[in-house]
This record gives sequence, structure tokens and C-alpha cells, in this order.
Amino acid sequence: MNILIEKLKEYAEFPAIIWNNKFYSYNELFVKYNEALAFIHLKGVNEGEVVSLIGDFTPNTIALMFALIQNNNIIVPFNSTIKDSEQVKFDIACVQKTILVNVVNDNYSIELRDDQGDHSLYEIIRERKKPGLVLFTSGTSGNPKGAVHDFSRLLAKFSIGRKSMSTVNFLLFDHWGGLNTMFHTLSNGGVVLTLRDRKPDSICAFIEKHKIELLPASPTFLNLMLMSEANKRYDLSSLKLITYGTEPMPLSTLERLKKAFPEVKLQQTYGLIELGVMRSKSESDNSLWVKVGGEGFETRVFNGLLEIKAESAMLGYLNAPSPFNEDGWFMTGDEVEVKGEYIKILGRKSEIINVGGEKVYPQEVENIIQELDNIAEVTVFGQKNSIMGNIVCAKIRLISDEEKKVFVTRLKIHCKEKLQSFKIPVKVIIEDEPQFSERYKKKRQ
Amino acid sequence: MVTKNEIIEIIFQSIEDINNENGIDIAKDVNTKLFGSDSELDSILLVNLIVAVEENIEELSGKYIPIADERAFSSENSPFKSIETLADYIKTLLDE
Repeated sequence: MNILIEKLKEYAEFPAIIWNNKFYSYNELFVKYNEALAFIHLKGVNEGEVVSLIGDFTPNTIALMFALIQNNNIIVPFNSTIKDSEQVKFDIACVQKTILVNVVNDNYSIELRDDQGDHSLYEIIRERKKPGLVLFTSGTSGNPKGAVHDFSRLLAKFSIGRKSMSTVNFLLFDHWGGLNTMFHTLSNGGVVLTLRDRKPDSICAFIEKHKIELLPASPTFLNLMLMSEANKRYDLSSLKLITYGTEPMPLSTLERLKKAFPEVKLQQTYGLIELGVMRSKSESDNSLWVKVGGEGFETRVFNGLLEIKAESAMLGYLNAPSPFNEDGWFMTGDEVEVKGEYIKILGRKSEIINVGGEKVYPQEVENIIQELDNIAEVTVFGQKNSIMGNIVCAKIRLISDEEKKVFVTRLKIHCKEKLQSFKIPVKVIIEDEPQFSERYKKKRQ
Repeated sequence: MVTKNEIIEIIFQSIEDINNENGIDIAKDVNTKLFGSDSELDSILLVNLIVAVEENIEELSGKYIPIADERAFSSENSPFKSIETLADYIKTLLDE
């Protein structure tokens, strides 16, 4: 951690954060860090205590994060504003104290919770005298699972200097993707460029204004951006790299992206809440084949499923059995195809639809449907059926109105050319509801 | 009250949809075999037809009737023998 603090001093007068259209230098961030450290000492936040931090990438939220790391706290980050459905996470994480940052004026306050912060995984971190980090994964059943990390292991990689591109902090504060971008930027003298409004037009305007070079985003966001043509309304010539991850990328979206940004490098990322972000290299800009690994990561494929061994792996889940085997390999549950050093992620094993004994990957079908005109979004899922076991269904949001029968016929004829018959959606539901979450990730239930 | 003739019309309409979508030509005839060795429909087409009929029935009657449930398969006289038997079966379900 001291290294991160050293960086704040080293980059002194350089800009560290743009927040609410105002620059904050590394010096200013260092001052705020010292204030935050004084605050938590004054409020009696002891080493090893479980503290939730509710905020966003504001100067004080970042300063508090640094201070809590320095104080060896177990940190549970949340995005402001907390949703009712997230309240359960405070209990799962045994949160003892909550620091709430007002994301409008950046003031903060602390509240005590009636919890002792007892958990066997926390004891390991406390014995090591290290900071901890708790991140939540939604889990296939919909119940959040809390992943406990030794924060120092996740931060270890930031001691090696790397080139920092001007990056928009698109991914959110309560996930490793967002935090990873922030730590990478700050440890390399870059500027954390952040905005609350993550709609395509706002992001594109922000890229134009700050001449941003790197856009880390989700395939869902990129698809919506292309569909809205927001990228055509702004000068995005500063962009050098677009990275995509958090969910599988439809090939059709990738191809449209390449057409829209012929000069920009497109790179797939692969990260998991349980393990951190791996280094990755796409075979080419318009290829879904990717090489993953890098220092501290080993990968292997067993029974078609990707397994990873990582130095930065979490200690375990707070409220679920360990997903590691006895040798420490993490079973990702991601089905992959292998080609030499490259892999292609087919989808989550749990999402595969079994139609009369045949496997259907929702992403493969979605990919084909996305090729049609007038598709805003599509989600493919299975439904129980007494003849085939399951049938394939597709929920579709259209860009503009179209008569259902005409559309369904068009869809089926297109699918028939590209897919085996058992993969073609039997039921087609047309809905106006958006199918993505606030993370710009496809909602699958 | 939905009549048997209306049900047959719905089945014919559904067959026409399936024909258009798949570039095939299943006869719109009450004697057309839906299931079994002398049927032109494979299991996927049958499932597609059943779902189409269910959707069209729901549109007409406002009621969702699951046609292919346990009962349909356990009954001695399969409702999927022909369009005629299917129409009778749906009529019974609707009248219940």
C-alpha cells in the first residue's frame, strides 16, 4: 500500500481525478487521504474492522479507500445509491461500520452497525495484518455471494509501472473491473475520468471532451452505442483501445464495432470477482479467440470447462462453499473451446439449454439473431417442455415497431440458414422493456 | 365459446406459419398425421406447431392452454395422431 501513497507524492501536481468537471491533483488527493485517515482514527475505526464504503469515484471516496487500506480494514465497497435488494449484503459481509459519501458534494459521514464482524475468513486477513476487500457476485441462483480477498494480493501488481492511457472509468465502483481501472490509472500517473451518467451519448461526449484513449466497456453498452449511433455524433478520434468483458461478446457486435472503429484496437478482457483481472490478448480485433493468463495466473481446460489458478485469488466465499478444488484450481463454470494457446468462451455451463439431449448456448443463438435488422436487444433462454425437455425462447426488443408475424417469420428464416433446427427459438416474445442492468450487462435470470 | 371448426382453423393457420417459416408443405387437412412414423413432422416441428397453436388459441380465447402436458402423453389415444384428434383434445381442454 505504501507504494500507492508514494505515487500520490511522486505525481504531486499532475491531475489525478476529474470529477464533476473539475480537476483534482495528486497533491490534493494526498491531502484528502490524510484527512480521511485522520477521520477514521478520530471515529475509532480499528484495524481489521469491516467497513463498508458507499460512494463512487469521487475524490473523497478514493481518499477514504486509500485510508482504509492503510488502516488494514476489510472494505466492502458499494455504489451510491444503495438499492433495497442490496441491504442483505451488509449482513452477509458482517459490516461493522459504514462510511457514506455524498456523491453530490463529496462530504462523508460514518454510521455504526450492530455487528461484530466475525467470520473465519476475516480472521485469516486479520492475522496477516493486511487489508481485505469483499466483492459480491450475483450467483446463478440470484443470491449474492460475498468473495473475500486479501486486498494486498490484488494490489501487488500495481507496484510494477505500466503505461497508463487516458481511460474513462466506465465500470462501477463496487466491482473489481472499476477498481482495477482506478488503481491502474493512479499508480501510473494517469487521470481517473469519471461520470455518473453512463448513457452512450454522455460517454461519447465525455470521450470527445477529454480526448480519452481507452474505453473499457461491456458488449451490451457497445451494442447500444452502435445502435443509437452516438459514436457518429461525437469526435472519438482520440480512442486507441476499446476493451470489452464482463459478459460474452456477440460476434456480430464485434464486427460492427470494428467497422465503426477501423483504427481502434479491440481487446477482450477476462476477469472474475473471485480472481481479479487477467492479462489477455485477442487473436485479432475481430476475433473472439483470446489468450488469457499473465504473471500470477495459470489456466487449464478440464472437461471443456476453464479452470484457473491465481496468486491473487480470493480466500473464499462468506456464504457459499469453496469453489476451489484441493489443488487450488478455481472452477470458472465457463465452457470454452481451445485452439492452441487461444480459447473462446462459449458461455456459462449453467446457462446452456438442453433440448432433447442437445446443447444450445444462448450466446450462439443471440449472435445470429443480432445479425438481423431492427434488433435492439435479444436474450435467449430455455423453457421447460414436455416433449423436448426444454425449448429455446427468445425475448426481443425491437428498434422500431414491426408486425409480430412478419418479424417472427423473418427471424426463423434467418436462423434456419445459420443454425441447426433444435437451436432455433420456438417461442419469440417481443417486449419494449430494456434487457440490461445499470452495469450495462445483459440481465439473465 | 370456441367451436371445433374455429380450433381447426387455428391449427391450419399455425401449419401455414410453420410451412412459411421452414419452407415445407404440410397438408392443411384434418387427417394430417402429426406424430408417429407416418408423420411428416419431426419432434422439433411438432413442438413448434404446438407452441404456435397454444399462442393462437390464447390470442382467440384469452386463455393459455398447455396442450403438450403429461396428460397428453399418458392418454391411451394420443391427441397428436391427427389434426382432427388434436382439435378434439383442445376442445375438451377449453370446455373444462
